[in-house]
Amino acid sequence: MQKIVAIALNTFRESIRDRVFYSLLAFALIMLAFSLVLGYLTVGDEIKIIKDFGLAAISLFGVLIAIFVGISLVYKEMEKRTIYVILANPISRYQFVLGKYLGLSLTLLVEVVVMTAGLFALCYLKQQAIPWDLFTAIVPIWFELQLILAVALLFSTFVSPFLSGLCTLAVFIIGHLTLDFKQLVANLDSSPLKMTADVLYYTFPNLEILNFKARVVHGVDIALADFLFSLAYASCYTIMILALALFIFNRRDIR
Amino acid sequence: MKKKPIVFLLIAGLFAASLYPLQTLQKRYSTAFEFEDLKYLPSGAFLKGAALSFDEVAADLLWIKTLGYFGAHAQGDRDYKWLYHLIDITTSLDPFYSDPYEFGGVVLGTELGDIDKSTEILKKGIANVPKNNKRYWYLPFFTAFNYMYYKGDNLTAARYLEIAARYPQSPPHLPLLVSRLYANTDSPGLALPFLEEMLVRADSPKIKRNLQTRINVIRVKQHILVLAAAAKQFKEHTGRNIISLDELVNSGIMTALPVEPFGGQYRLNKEGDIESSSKIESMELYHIKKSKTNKTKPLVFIEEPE
Repeated sequence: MQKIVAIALNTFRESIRDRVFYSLLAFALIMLAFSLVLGYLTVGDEIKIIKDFGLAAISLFGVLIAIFVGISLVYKEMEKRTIYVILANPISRYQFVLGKYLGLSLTLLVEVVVMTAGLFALCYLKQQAIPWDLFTAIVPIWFELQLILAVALLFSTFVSPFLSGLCTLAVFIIGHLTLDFKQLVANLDSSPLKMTADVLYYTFPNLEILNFKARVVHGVDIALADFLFSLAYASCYTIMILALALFIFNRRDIR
Repeated sequence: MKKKPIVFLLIAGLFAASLYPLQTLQKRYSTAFEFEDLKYLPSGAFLKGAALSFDEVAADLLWIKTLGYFGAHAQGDRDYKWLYHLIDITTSLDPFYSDPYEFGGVVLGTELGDIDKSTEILKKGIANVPKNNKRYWYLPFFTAFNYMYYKGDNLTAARYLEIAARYPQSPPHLPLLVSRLYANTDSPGLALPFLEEMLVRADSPKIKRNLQTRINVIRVKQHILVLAAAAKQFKEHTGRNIISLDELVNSGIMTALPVEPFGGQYRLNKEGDIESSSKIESMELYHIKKSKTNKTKPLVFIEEPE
């Protein structure tokens, strides 16, 4: 466990110094500030636009950080041959991969916390109250980021960063579309299409069930079971992907 | 040695040179470009998928574009042919967002005169906006207005107004308007269950009193309908009109005359019609009339005479 923590902290330090992280965080904060301008342009509920943009920025830039920083995690170590130095120590491969994952997971937590603080500050500025209920949307976003990060790590263990970036992005897009696709196909007679939709739906992560943003912003009641089941689903899927990544990395011949 | 200034000069020169074509293009596009692009705006269902999980942000941006589109045309040609399309997509992207429904419901009716589209948007809002939204009641309220003011359909209007009146944010006198609308239809009794429920829920004595009055008015109307039916039956049997209401009881058509709830009595007027001695006409709805031409009339139309 200590070894995993040591690698995690090291990864965290490394990624927090990454220029990509800072530039993405800066863009995210700019997007948040931009919502203020749009708020002035709208008629009616100004705070709604700020919340929408804030939550979208947390999610979008979190995904970008998970992808752009996550894909190079393992690959960079292999390319720079630093992995030999690490694995020459009494550290097993699974400890290495898990440490890497937890380190970047911590970095994403920093992103989410910074953005949430920014969003809450803006909301406080506008309505003199902190919308704590937004956490109902932010916590699932964080779980989604964990899942995307695990996918990025999985690809990172066996393909080049560019390709794994593309693949992770594809998983993110498909993950948000499978539900629509399934519903679209449900009314058709074509059974091969239905089967394809089912295969896509059950194999790819269903990220849309982690999307509580609209409901939270509009104050729609969310059943506790819905919330907990979606988190349970994300956790199971993330752990499954991590296990797959460990399996592949363990069998990989590092030269 | 002198390379640096030349490079800077070159950059500045190229930047300045790029401004000329940019401005020329801007001038060329300024006429029709902005409105032309709305034609290619895909349907809400497609955009909802394409926006991944960022539907609400897309809806916000489109909503601001809608306002810009409306504003630009309101000051110019007042031709809003894309307005419904824009509002429809915005509300498909974020179905919970109440402002576009409200705006569309009012503007499509008053500015475009397209009552069907206006009602369609409002009904979409009624189905989708969360019921705990503070402005929810406006949606059934405006729908009721469309039915009553433009279509002259008091019964449907009353049904929608009944929905609006159930929300605590709606004005307290709304239930009375509902009962008036119902009372002006062919079946005044429809208002009774609604009013009785409102009476149970009402907390101020003044509102309770008003509601009780409305209930009594409707009972009177119902009684008059029953008496008129009995009088018709009497004529079928005897071949003549009744001279007094007591004849209905004496002939065995009715077991007893109904009790007038205001304490007055039912009687025949000079024209031979049945009426109540209490003046219930003053509680009727005479000031709302069907109109299709008067567009400048303000939206607020409920006045509760005290």
